[in-house]
Amino acid sequence: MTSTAVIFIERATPATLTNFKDALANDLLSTEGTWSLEFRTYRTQIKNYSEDSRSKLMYTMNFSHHDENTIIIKNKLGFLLSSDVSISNKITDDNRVQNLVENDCSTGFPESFDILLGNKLTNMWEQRQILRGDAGETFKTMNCLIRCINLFSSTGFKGLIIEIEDITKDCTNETFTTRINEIKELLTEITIKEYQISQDTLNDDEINTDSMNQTDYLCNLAYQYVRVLEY
Amino acid sequence: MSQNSSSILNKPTNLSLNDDTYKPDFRGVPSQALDAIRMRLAQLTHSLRKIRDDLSKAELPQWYSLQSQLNVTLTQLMSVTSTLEHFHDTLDATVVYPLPKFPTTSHETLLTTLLRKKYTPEVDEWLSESREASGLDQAQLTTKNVKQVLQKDKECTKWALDIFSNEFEKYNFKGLKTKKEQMEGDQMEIDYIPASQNIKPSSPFVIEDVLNFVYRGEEQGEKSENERDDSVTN
Amino acid sequence: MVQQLSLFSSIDDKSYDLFIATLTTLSGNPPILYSKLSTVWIPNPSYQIEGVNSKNQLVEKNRIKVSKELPLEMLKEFSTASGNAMKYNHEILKKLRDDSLPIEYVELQNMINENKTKRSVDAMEVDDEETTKPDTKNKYAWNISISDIPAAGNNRKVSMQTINESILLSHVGANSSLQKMLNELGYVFQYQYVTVGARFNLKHNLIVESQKIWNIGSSSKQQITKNGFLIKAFINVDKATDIDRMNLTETVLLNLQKELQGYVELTVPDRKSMDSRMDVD
Repeated sequence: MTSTAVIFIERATPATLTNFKDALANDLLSTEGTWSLEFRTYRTQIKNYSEDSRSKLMYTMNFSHHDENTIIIKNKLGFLLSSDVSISNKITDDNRVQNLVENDCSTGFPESFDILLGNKLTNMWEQRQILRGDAGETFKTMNCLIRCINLFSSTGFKGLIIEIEDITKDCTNETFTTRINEIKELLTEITIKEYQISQDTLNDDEINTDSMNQTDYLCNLAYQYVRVLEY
Repeated sequence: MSQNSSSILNKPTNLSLNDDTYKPDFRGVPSQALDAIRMRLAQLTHSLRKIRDDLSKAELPQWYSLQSQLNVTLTQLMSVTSTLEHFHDTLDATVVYPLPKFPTTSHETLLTTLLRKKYTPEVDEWLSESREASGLDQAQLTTKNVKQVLQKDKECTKWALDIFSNEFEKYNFKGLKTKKEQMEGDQMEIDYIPASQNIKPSSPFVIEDVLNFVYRGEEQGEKSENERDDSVTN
Repeated sequence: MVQQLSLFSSIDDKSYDLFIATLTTLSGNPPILYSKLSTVWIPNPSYQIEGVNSKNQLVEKNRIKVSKELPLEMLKEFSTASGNAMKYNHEILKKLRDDSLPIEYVELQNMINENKTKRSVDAMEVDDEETTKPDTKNKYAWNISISDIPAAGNNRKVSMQTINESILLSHVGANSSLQKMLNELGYVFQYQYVTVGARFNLKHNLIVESQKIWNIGSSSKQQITKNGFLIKAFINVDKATDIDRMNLTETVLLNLQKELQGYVELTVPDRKSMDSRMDVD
């Protein structure tokens, strides 16, 4: 499985990113492509929705580097929705999505779930906030991909996101914790003391982590964003 | 303006150019042949012109109307050819010459066209084109060669026709079954009956009833059931 | 946002063979058999849902349709064996004349509630007992769609409907399932139906389907298209703003209508019958 963690530094300054990059430079193998993300928060408009103690909030995420997917995070549940038939054929590595088209289930032109929420369900779900990050950077070290991005809301700068993804084949929880600690040390070096970090996953405990696949990984990653941004 | 004679002997040799009283002899004119050809040519040119106009329109006519027009035109062309063939002897022996009173100056082009013995350049072009298209060596084109080639062509056509009819036998072009299925006689299936008496399907239900269910889950007769419920409670 | 342009008709059971032969000739290809499950969800009636959003714009309550393909193995008993392989083709539809269908309510509800834990257990059982369970081939993916009422206008030559859809690929979390996702959205299950049909792909992305539809209720099954087939001819256009494409698409449908005139009359159904909005209470 792929282990990931997300760190959010709310009190970051433009210098924070530069300092972090400098600190990381010693371990840097190469720099990879740029990326962007969108993080939306929806709040229910239904008055008696929370009578059964459901959360009134729902989050959706889009990553430019993870294809045309929308991830919904709600009440510790993750749902991966696709808005492109050919790309999702690639992700699932079979023709399950093509099957939907050929069996008259799908028209073959799906869209982001955000469009459904924004077009058809605004009487039930209202978009409260959108956080955007553009031109994010990707750094490759010996064993990790580290992605950094500055997040902005409509009112201005929100903070710095650091995403850590293990790229070794035999990553255990222990080795990943070591990697996280290395990053934490880097942050201490550049005198960043206050930050949120999440390594949470959505998978049930009973399930063997080996069976986790790419789709679970995206939901878990999105969940970590929700955890650090909505603490 | 012109006179034709079926025989050279008939040619009036004693005419004087300024003789107003000269009465031309029209008996020799093969009017029947000329008229027949004129009529067919008129039809043909009319059809060709119509096709040309149709094809140059912005919106093409339906394919079937074009096809039927082409068929008509081809029949007319055939008719022209066969008429020409029919009167071949008469026409071959017909010579055209102008009468003394023919206005040679004002209608010079017409006169030269009518009196021309050589093919016009475009006809020459057609001839050489078709010779080229036949793929024959022009230099060695003797009558014997041509005959041989024609014979070969006929043989080839016959061979192709045989092959075609053999292949045609192998497939079934009617009904719902292939020849193979027909030969094997699939007992399970009902034979295809040309549905002359029942071509048009009848409508087994109201489309909207089905759609009401698909889009809203409304079942047929649900409303009337509800009404019945109402009457019970009332 | 997809625009679906469509025309409908119906034929009786007896006309099926001739219709299939006609369309095979028209399309130049034999039909493809398909089957799908459609589940329809409504806003939870116990919720107080306003007909307007926070900006006071009118937003009507809409049904959500969630559908996925059904493995043809479910119709095994109607297939014709050829050698060792089972043959599934449009002939099957001729045998499906009444209300019964070898697809059970519970089976379908299990698909809706399917979660990961159960899925892996199922797979293991299959391996152990070496039985061929029909749903092993059935990979997880659902199409979620909301459709508008077709465009209004007296002189519509074809039905024109806007559809918004997205594809659910997977879910993670304790007891997560399709059911759970829609419940979290505020929706509950209303009804489900199964469509088995023969599908022709023609030029210009034109698709013609002859469908049989069954309402699969908890206690009873009912064929909605009894004694016949629903005929649907349609083209999906992904860009409704492309006027030229829309006009061309309409012409393609009208040409088919013209072609079949005097045999199967394709018509525009009452738009109200294709309205999936909730009744205003």
